[in-house]
This record gives sequence, structure tokens and C-alpha cells, in this order.
Amino acid sequence: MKDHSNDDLISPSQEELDALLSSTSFFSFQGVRASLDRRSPVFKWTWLVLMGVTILYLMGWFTGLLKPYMASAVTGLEADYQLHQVRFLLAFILITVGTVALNFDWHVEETFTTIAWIPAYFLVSGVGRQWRTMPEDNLAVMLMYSANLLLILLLLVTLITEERRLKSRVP
Amino acid sequence: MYKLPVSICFLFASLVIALFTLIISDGSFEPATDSGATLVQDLTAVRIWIVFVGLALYSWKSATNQPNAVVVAVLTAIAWIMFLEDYMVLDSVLFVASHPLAQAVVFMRPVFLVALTYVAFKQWEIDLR
Repeated sequence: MKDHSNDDLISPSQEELDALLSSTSFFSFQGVRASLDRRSPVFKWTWLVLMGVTILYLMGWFTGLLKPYMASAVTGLEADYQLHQVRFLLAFILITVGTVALNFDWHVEETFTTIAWIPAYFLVSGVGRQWRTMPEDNLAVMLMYSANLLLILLLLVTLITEERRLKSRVP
Repeated sequence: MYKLPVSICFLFASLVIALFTLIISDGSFEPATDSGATLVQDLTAVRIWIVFVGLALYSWKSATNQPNAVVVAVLTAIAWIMFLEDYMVLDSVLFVASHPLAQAVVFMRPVFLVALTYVAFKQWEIDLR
């Protein structure tokens, strides 16, 4: 007959089970809505505006409405067109990374701080180059480019500030 | 193990600074195309400032024992983005890698990216301890 005493010895206690279940923070997927509900209304609305801007961009891109306002429309350089595509793809990947960080509530402030520096780099390098290469009568295109990136930067900085405020309130 | 990737990053940064110094002091560096001339000047100038500021910030924070993870994460993200931009779009515009220093930069770049990514992950580990 089989002795079950060994099975009892290796079965985890309730404290061990609680400890195991409570240490799953790395994989604690909770969804964006639950994560946003924990945060301030400003954070929530800023996030929604950021998503709205992304969706509007996609709509504008696929309908061709954005093309006349792009740098490549003025310079006629294929490199500008490709650079725009690559930069949007990279920004889209970063938005995805931000959403994942928000879903798992994992280092949200640090993730968005890293993300915010990328549009800052796009802004400095893009405006710096267009300032020298664009004809003077196409100043509107450069202003449009700067305004878009500044809006995204502003939204990201608001998210970082709100997250920092939340962290300072919750010990 | 941590010191080797950090040394690789510092070596790469030194090479980039040396190359930039050579570009601005010596008129022999010619871009691949005429339209690339402004690109070379502007992008290299922006990038050299990123390298210089990043190097200074990392050194300062390391010397004063401040958390460094976010700084290294930002620098890693920007380094990868610059690499992807160069590889996918600007490859034929930016450099004519005929000079040994330019060749060294091009050769070192993948090693630098791997080293910087390792430093970024390791720095998170160190800061979270």
C-alpha cells in the first residue's frame, strides 16, 4: 500500500502559496483600463489624446491627406520620405512599448521618460536639418512638423509628471 | 564583465569624437552625393552633441553614485534608432568609409550597440538592487 505521508511533507503551506502568488508582479497583466483607473484623470485624458493623435495620423496617412504637408513633398527627396516612414514605425513601436508597460504597470515613469527622448531627438535633428535645406516659402511645413512633435512631447511629459505625482503619493 | 562593455562604449564614443574632429578640421571628407553634404554636417553635428552629453552625463552620474539606468536606457534607444535610420535610409548618404578612422567607427558600431544594450540591462539590475 502506498504511503501518502511523503506527499504531505512536500505540499506547500498556505504561507508559501500566498508568497508565491504575491510575487508575480512582473507578470501581473491587468489591462490598460484597470491601470488607467488607478491614475489621475489628467493622466487618463492625456493617454486618450495620445492614442487619438496616433489614430488620426494613421487615418491621415492612409487617406493621403498628410502627403502635401510632409518634408518629402517640398524637398522631393526619397530619403526624406523613407526617413518619415522609419521614424513613424519607430514611434509606433515605442507607443506599443508604453502600452505594454501600462498594461503590466511596470516602470511606467522610466518607460515614458525613455520614450519622450526619442521625439526630442526627432525634433532637434529634423528641425535642424529642415532649417537649412527647406526653401523659405515652405516655413509652414517646418512649423507643422515642429508643432506635431511638440504636441507629442507635451503629452508624454504630462504623462511622466502625472506618474511621478502618483508615485510620490503612494508609498 | 560589466567593465568591458563600458570600455567598448567609451572607445566607440572616443572614435566618433575623433572622426568628427577630423571632419571639421580636414576638408578631405567628401559625402557620397551632393545632396548628402548638408545631411552629413547637420546629422553629425547633432549626433556628436548627443555622444558628448551622454558621455558626460554617464560619467558624472557614475562618479557621484547616482542611479544611471534611465540615462543609459535613453542613450541605448537613441543609438538603436540612429543605427536603424542609417541602415534603412541614410546608408549611402552619410559616410564614405575610406578613412581608417571612419572604417573603425563603422566596424565598431554593432559591437558598441550590443555593449550598450548589455550596459543598459545591467544598469537596471544594479539600480534595482
